[in-house]
Amino acid sequence: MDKTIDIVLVVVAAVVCLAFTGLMPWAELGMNGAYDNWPLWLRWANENLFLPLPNYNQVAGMGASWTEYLKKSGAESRYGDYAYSLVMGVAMVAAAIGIAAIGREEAEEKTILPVKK
Amino acid sequence: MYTSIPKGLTDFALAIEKGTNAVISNRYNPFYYHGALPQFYLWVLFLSGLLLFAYYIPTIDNAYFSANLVNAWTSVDYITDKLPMGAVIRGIHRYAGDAMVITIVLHALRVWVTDRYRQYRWIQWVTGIMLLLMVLFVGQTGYYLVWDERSLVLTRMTVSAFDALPIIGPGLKAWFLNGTAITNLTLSNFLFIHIGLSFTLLFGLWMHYVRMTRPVIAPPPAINYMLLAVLLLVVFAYPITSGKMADINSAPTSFDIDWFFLFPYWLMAHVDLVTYWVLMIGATIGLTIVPLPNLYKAANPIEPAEVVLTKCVGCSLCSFDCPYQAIEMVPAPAGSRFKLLATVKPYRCSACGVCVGACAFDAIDLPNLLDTDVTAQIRALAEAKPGA
Repeated sequence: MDKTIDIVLVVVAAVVCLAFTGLMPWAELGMNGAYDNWPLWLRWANENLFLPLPNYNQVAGMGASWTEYLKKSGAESRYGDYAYSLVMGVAMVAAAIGIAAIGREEAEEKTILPVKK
Repeated sequence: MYTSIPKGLTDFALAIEKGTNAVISNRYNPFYYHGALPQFYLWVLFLSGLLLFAYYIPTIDNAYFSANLVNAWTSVDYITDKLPMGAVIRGIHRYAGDAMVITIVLHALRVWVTDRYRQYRWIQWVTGIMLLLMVLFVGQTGYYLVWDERSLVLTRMTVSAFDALPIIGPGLKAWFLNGTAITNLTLSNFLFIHIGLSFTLLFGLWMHYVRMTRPVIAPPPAINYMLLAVLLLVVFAYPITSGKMADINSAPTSFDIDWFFLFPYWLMAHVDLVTYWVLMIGATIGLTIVPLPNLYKAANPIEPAEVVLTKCVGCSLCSFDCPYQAIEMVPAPAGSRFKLLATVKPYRCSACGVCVGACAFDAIDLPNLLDTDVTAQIRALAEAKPGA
């Protein structure tokens, strides 16, 4: 049981970290997928290290729809900040679930009857 | 035990708690930290408020920066649109206030439904009502600080409400406006009230905890993460906005209402001011006197714990363990072999039996629940449930 939870937690943590890594630049760019707007280090990594980075052009549409939602909701600028808020919120939910999953096993209580003098 | 509360409500609350335990265990059940949840949001408010305070300018017409008007509204606009993460921090501050009100109300409801608000707990209830009122007023002053059209309407409505009060009305109005009209000093006063009263909440919390030996004041990390996550997700879902800048020469009459803090203004807009004050003061008094013992008589009156004088050795263990500070250690009578003697303050005792469990010498008992009987019952239960 212990091992199962550990593995699940590692997988959850890995997914969260990957999602965070992918979404941070997306958020930095104000949810814009245009390659020219990528941070320099990410462009360099994409061109020289041939890392399997996500194609941000594919998610640009999603970013546009989120931006549209934020505009309709009254936000006027710095949409990337809101994306950070969303991603941090999701990461914290995952962290809370992870911590609760570990602590759940320790929550079992045993009754110890006192021996009085 | 719960005879003064509709039984269905109590059963419903306990069923939800039990269901939550089955899913996430009692260690992470937020119902067991309901008093700590508002306090977590208080720390969030302090921290986010500190960041906002660094950029906030509490004036209405500070135009000495030559070209641009710099005032409360433009500083809030700067925080929202120009400052990195400014809109998020502002949103966190705003929604943490809402969340604090929600969690306070849920806390009070849970306390009421489980009959934990009266007798030895009346101080917690009364100070809790006072804290709720303070939080509502602090939150309302936050709406004035933005200095948009809604702020102007709220300020004028508040002045009208104070004006309607006999004797103390003019004084309250002058205090609120920091003068006789809305000026830069008024905004300074709003900021002072907003921050000053926030710190006064700490004193209120001290009174709230003064009769509790081990109050739960911090939820476990998993719940903290979840509480913060809720804020961040709401900030994304409902971006924070401001209205148009307040114009002191205009007379806006309508505004978006935040039901968590501004419901008194909704009431004020729908009834005359005398009725408004009667309802508000009546509601406050009504909530405050809920724990009056004559209003709710327990089916089984509490029998306070009793110290067996011949057995007490003055070790103080019962005093340390008592959750309600109901046991005081006093000097032992002349001729005793021991220095101290435990005494029970009956009006603080809940007959919970913690002291009975703490005493290693059988020197304290509940009159209608003997230690030997309780031990026998526990032993029988433990034997009936192997592995426990």
